[in-house]
Amino acid sequence: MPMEQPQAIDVIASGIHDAKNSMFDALARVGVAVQAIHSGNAAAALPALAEIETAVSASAQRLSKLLSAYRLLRHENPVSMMPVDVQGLLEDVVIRLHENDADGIALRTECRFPGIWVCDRELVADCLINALQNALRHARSAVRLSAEEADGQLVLTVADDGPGVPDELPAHADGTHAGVGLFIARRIAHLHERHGRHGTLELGNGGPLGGAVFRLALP
Amino acid sequence: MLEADVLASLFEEQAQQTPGRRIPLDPYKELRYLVIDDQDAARQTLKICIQSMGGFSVDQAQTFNEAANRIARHMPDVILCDYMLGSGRTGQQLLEDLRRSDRLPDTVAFLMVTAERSYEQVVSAVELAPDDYIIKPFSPEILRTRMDRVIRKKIFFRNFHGHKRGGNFDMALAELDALDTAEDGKPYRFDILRARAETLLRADRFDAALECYDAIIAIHPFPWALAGQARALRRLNRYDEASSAIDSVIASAPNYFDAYDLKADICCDLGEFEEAQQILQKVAERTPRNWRRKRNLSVVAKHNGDFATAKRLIEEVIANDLVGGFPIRDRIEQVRTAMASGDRAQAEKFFRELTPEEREALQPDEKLNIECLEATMEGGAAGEKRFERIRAELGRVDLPVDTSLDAIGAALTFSDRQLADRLAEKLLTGHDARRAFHTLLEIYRGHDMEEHFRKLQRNIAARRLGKH
Repeated sequence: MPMEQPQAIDVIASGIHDAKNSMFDALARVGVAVQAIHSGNAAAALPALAEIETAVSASAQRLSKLLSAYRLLRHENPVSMMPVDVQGLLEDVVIRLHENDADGIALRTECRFPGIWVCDRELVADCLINALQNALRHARSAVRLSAEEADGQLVLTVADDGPGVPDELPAHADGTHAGVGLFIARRIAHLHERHGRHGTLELGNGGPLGGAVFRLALP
Repeated sequence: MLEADVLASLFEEQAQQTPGRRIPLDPYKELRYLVIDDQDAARQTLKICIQSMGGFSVDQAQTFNEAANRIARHMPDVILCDYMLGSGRTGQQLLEDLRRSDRLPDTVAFLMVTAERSYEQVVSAVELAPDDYIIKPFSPEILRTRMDRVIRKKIFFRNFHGHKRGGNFDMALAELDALDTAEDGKPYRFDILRARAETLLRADRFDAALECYDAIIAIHPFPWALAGQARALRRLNRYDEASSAIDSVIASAPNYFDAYDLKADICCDLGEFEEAQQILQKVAERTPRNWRRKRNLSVVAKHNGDFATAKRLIEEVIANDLVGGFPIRDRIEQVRTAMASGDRAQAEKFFRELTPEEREALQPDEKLNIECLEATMEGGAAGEKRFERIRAELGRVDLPVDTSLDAIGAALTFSDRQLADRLAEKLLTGHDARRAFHTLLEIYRGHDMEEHFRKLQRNIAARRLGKH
């Protein structure tokens, strides 16, 4: 269901809170780096700079997610429905993902639906990239992205072999600070509507790889 | 620009034998690219991007008009165009102007590049969409993947594009049937359906087109499909249904301005020029550099007797529309407006300034049209002599509506009531009857022949009812 407005504002507020903390974190390390350079030991500044980079990049990512969340809230019907080649969508997502995260985890894609689905290409891609980033963070060695048609819906699944989501997370994921990405994903799912049926997002455990499973179903 | 078959032979082997896999870089070296962006840095970035995927010949354009000029001189194979082109112009407008004036073949790949997320709302609504769009920032890798896909699709549809461009609609439709059952056609099923609907509309097969659009709307009520449905309904004289289809487009995509144009067209069909003018005026304020719209608005204003507006707009169009316009037709319209408003000096100026070379280059119907106007303006023996030279021709050929109206005016001026009535009857029994009615009445009224015109109209009605 669409989230009530006050709850959504809380999600955005907690996101800003996190971004702010990352920035202060970075600022503190800037002090360390400056001191090191002043004392003639520039090499000692390097680790601090690396940490600064990580912190700034994390907060930039968080802010851009918040911006998406804000946009999704602001517009009444911001989805742009168009015919999307599902195979191509999965390819795009994997390419965009590899631009940011390239670690040792094996990412497999499996497209069991070779045709066209009507959906918002960019929003669905954002959603999947976010889910894949989470999966890659928690996976031990494997992540799988798949697409298939089930019960008249396009089902996009991201599964990993990590420890899975904590039992209590799905229940209050909407309101907690960890939930900005999830909030966006739920909102995107809901905005996809066809003949009165809305898209859904489920987060669960088990799945083909034994870890967390993110399942986006679009009517 | 490479011929479709050359393009295919460059890409096809890889494209067909290794579906889903990469096209090697070499063929990209053979293509001509045009990068359009008003920002220098952005153009450079795109150029580097293309070069990194093997591209070599990369042309650049900074403005809307410069882009149109380059395309006219050297047709590229691939166009990468930024959505925002400065001075209130957009890449979407460029694409539409080029496609509508038949200056951009379907074989050329047009990719829109944009930092505006809101462009998605545009691209998902419009009838003339680019082959793909990419949201900035993007990597060369994404550009490459998208370009691979667009080129594969161009190759897949190349025979269809060839037939369609040659006006062989039956063959184009037969090709679509063949593609629909082709093994590698699966990802293109929807494109095939859309292409079929558009081709049927172009081929004036409105019932079949309507059926096709209905099938698309059953999948999803895309604004462009509703607009197509409205176009087909309009041409089938089902105006009420057309009107309500277009209203639903406006409700679901209020920024899809073409829908308002179509709505205004329907108003004109019904002879409701005042409403048409109101609709167009409102949209034109929001799209001040859309000359096609201002051209329509000028014509509608003229019908409403609002000559000041008509005159101002057609002048503005002539001065500015260097891409989508037909300069001579706009000038003919300018003369028409001048004559309708009694501005003889302006009309004389046009005829004086028309050079022999320009007269030589006129299309047959343009030539006839100019002769009609010139004869009417001259009047007297000189005018009659001029009219005499084209009289037989006017009775023989099929004329566009505006030319017919001007011919009727000339015929009545020189007392050839028989020719005037024959042409008027043709208009009143044709598709554009209601649109032409108002102007016809004015023309006959101008010659104190309103009663005669009413009689003509009654005869036609009686014949239609089979009482004659």
